[in-house]
Amino acid sequence: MTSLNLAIAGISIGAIAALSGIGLLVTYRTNGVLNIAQGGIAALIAYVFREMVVEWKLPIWISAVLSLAVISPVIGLILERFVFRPLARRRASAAESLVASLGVLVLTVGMTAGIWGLGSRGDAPSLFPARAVGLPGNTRIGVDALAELALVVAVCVALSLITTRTRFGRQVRAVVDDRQLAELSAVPADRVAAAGWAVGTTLAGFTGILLAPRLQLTPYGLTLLVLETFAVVVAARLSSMPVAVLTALAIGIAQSELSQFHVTGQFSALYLAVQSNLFVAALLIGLLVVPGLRELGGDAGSTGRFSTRGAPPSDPGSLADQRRDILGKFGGAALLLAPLSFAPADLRNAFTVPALALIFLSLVIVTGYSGQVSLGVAGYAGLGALLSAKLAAGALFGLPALPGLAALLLGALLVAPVGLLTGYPAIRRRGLTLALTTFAVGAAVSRFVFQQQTFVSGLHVIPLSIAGHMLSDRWFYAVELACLGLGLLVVRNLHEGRLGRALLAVRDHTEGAAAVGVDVRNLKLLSFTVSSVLAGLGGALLTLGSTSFDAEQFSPLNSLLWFTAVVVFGADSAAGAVVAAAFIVTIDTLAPAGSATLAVGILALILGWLPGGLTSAARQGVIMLGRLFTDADTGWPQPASAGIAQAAEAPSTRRRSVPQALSMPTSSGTPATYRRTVGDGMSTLTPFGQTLIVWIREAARTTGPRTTGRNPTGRNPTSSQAAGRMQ
Amino acid sequence: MSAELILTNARAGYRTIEVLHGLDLIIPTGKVTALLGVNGAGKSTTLRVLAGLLPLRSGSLTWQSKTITTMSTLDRARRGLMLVPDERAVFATLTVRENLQIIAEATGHHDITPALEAFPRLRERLTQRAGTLSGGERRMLALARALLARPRVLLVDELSLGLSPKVAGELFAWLGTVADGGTTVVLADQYTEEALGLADIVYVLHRGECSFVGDPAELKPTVSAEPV
Amino acid sequence: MSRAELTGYGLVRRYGGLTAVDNVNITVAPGKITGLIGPNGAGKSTLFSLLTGVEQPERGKVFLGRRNITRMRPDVRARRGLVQTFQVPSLFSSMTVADNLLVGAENRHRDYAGGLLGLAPHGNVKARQIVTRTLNSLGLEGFADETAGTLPTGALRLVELARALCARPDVLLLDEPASGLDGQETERLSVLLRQVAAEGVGVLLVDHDVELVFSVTDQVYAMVGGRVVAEGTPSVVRDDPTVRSVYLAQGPLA
Repeated sequence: MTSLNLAIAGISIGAIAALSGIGLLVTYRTNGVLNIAQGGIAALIAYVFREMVVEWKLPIWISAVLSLAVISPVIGLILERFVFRPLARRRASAAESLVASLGVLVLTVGMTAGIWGLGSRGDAPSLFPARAVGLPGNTRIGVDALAELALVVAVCVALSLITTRTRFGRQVRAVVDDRQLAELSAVPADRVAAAGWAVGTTLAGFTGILLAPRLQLTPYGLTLLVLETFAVVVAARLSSMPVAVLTALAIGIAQSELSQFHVTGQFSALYLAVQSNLFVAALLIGLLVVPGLRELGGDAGSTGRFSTRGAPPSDPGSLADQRRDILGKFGGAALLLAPLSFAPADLRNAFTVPALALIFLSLVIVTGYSGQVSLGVAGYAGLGALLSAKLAAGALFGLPALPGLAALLLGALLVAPVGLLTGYPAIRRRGLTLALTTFAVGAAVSRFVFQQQTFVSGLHVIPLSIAGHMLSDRWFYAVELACLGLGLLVVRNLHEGRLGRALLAVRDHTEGAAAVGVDVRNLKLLSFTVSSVLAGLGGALLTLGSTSFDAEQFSPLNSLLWFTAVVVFGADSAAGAVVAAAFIVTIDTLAPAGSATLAVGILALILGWLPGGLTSAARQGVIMLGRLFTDADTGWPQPASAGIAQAAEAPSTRRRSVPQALSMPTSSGTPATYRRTVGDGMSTLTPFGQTLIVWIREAARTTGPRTTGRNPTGRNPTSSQAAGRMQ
Repeated sequence: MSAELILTNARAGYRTIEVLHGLDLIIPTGKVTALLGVNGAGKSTTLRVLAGLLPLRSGSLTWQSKTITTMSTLDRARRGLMLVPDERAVFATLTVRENLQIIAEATGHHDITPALEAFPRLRERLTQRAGTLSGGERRMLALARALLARPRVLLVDELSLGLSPKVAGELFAWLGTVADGGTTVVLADQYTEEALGLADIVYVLHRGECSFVGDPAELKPTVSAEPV
Repeated sequence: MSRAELTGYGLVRRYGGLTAVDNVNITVAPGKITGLIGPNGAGKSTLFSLLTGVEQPERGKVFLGRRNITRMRPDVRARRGLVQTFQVPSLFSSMTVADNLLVGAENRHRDYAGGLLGLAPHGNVKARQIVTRTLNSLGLEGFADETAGTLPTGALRLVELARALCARPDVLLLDEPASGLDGQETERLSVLLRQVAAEGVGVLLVDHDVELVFSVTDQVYAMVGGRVVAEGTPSVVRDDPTVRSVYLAQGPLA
């Protein structure tokens, strides 16, 4: 094929990526939400379209209209109205929006997998006829490529006409320019936001339907492919649409052009990998090399909102507390030990629990304790698995084969340098940039290592044996538990004492921590490194448990699912990590494929109402019940007011001109809210707990005489009298 | 004299900082009310509270004796409670004409000529992007936008900020005519002769509390008597 | 008590075409309160960032005592005794007040690897003593076990100051410590600042509230347009014609 023919072949994929990029940008510029769920929605629509055409035998054009003009935009409108508008209303942090869109991603992938299964389908219908037309000069171009290019042009022209020529378009540009000023100018910003979502999801639908016939359609595969087109919006720094379109076409064409060269020798595999994964390469390079995305709104990389629990009290708690604590630990241990008595098949299923729990613990360290978004954990896990297996088989750098247990631990430790290296970009990066960078690292490792024959072909996972004896299933599970115990110990050490305080300080307020001398840089590196080792250990156990290295197990999509699961179950809770692992494994064992994903997605969206995660909610429930019983007579804990509160209550000595004319009282400075916030005993409660307390008090006030009887403001509303006098 | 807006025991702030510590405020209908005070006294915060950009932590706000404490910014703007913020008061990437059209259309009027009659200088700039205007022109455009909306209540933050005395004087004079037309005007500014000259009633804010309220004429002796 | 003095020599910082800080010399003497005033955009915040290490100057040097700290990160400067507070209080909101202070008091212990292996002791007796003493001296004992995130602004400011003091500063840099405080609390703050200075700590106070700055400081720098236009005792700076003309719009000064 000539270069020209190759370029034409590349246009097609470039055009599809451009459509995806335009959709992402429209949603992002109008809403400030980077729709990570784009991939999931694309896959869902592609499956719906296939269902209509292949199973229901509807004509292609009816199916296309139904799925692209009805279902896609409606999905967008529903998401805006029920997920993202409530978040915007309560001024949720950018991190919460990020988790919500991850939740939607996980939910849509779960739905697709749940309805249509994980198997691949080669019969996805093509929207455009598979014919080619001749161009002058012995070149031919596929109708689909022409149509896709035309579609990109049409979308660009339509968008620019609408935004420059119509009244609604002006409003869109006003909202994009300054949402707050738009609302001040009586412009309905919500309508603009909804339109942004509808356009975004519609273009996601196009992306899905157009990509589907080019590959073996699977829910995960298609979703991932669409996520890789994020390279385009990264190149556009999240703002410029022309740059996004041109980048998309350029990558598409470059990918096609590169296929005409053949590199021989040791770099041939690398060359092929880069050529076939140019989008991932561009995503990673775009994030590492080019500075600063033009991010809207707040800091999506700070996860403080999801990890509200503080350090354990530095003084040992009361005896009762300690007893309850020990009881809880025994309960958890008993649950984890239970599989030892299971039937062999069930025990094998349980193998995944401690392994997954370790991976989740690694996220607890990075996200819960250190406050960084990490969307690439599957990469570390997979590396751990690969390195351990190679060490055990004696296939790593000519090292002799190591005994199983040593290979397992050393393999995990060898992930540390990788964690350290990827921790560096995280020192200065925040927000979406950090989220996307970690994702890109995970995706790159997956594409360039796990899927490369050079690294994984002929990889033989040797079952674990100690002192020459192969471990029985029970003993293997016991080894897993021992590893998990080790992980829990590390996590505890990271959460307690000086180190724990310093880490929490960095999470809660990085600049504040630096200002009093906390070594922010080394602490971030430490948490990334330790976390990568735990993930590596978990990954190695995962592979040992399933007796083969499966690249799918460490797909970048799993990073997203796992991160979402950890946030849902409480990002700062080690117990939550174990419960989350047990939850996912149990559902995956009992229910059809995709159910666990679906469940995590649903829970993530519910998280909008349960800040702090399920663990926090459960923890609060227990605390509340305890208080209800112990404090029933005395009411809520009494104020511990002192210091400034008392000082401020002293009569004011500052001279003030009292407005005699209106006899309106100026503020007396009574610190009513001081006493309320300090005195309510809410200080140890998470936001969810506080909401619950308010509900319970409301209930108590309406049903019984037991009220605290405190005047809410301590002041009389006198202004209405003053107003009366003015008339 | 009746009350347009009544703010009662207002507490509000940003993140961990409480800026208003229980402020009471009455804005009389059809008059010019000036909120004066140094930087950080809470003037802008008060206007943001009135416009609904900043939620009250406690206290209440009534407008024409209806409680609007939780009403959204958009609904307030639609009903004619309009804020001209001190900075970022125009859409910089839109042309002057589009800036005017946006607000005229959103409030149900479609004619932008009244704005051009009030500020003829804008006529020459209609096709220019608002971001390329000078500071004074941008301020004019912001006020012209507010004029087109024909608000019941006009809140203006720091009218004179960064303007030459001559331009500031013109804008103050224009604001006076708006008030004469029956619009309630609330003006947040530092101590300036113009603001004092225009105001019917003056509030002086100090650290989020009201330290003086009354006639502008009463203010001068009080202030100079205050020890520093 | 011999504490180090903070000095900036010939500091320059530009953003694009704008020179935010233009050849500024400044000294924060031990045991004295130094004020920095100026209208919006005068370059106060930029100068402050150059001193704390959040930003780097294009030209000029920053010394703490005899040590050149121009290229040091903020946390390294903090461990050397240059501690700052923020316009928006920067407390660790999920931790108790006592633990917040403890982070400051423990900043010179960085045996993180030991901590990871569970080797480090849970706390350090000396650090805890510092925390208790500081809490008592600021009248914050009652707040020790409160979670920092639930405190009102006035208390937040005090706790942040207490945390800075626990880091045993030679020089304390305060960025608008009085914003968000009411009149009463502001008075209390100025009393505290004088106490801190009396113990030998050098204090730099940046604030909009000229009244507060003039009433509490020993030395004042006034900035306009990136340059220091006046320096000296409060009474000297107050009577400076440039300062008077700039602040005329802020209301009567005297």
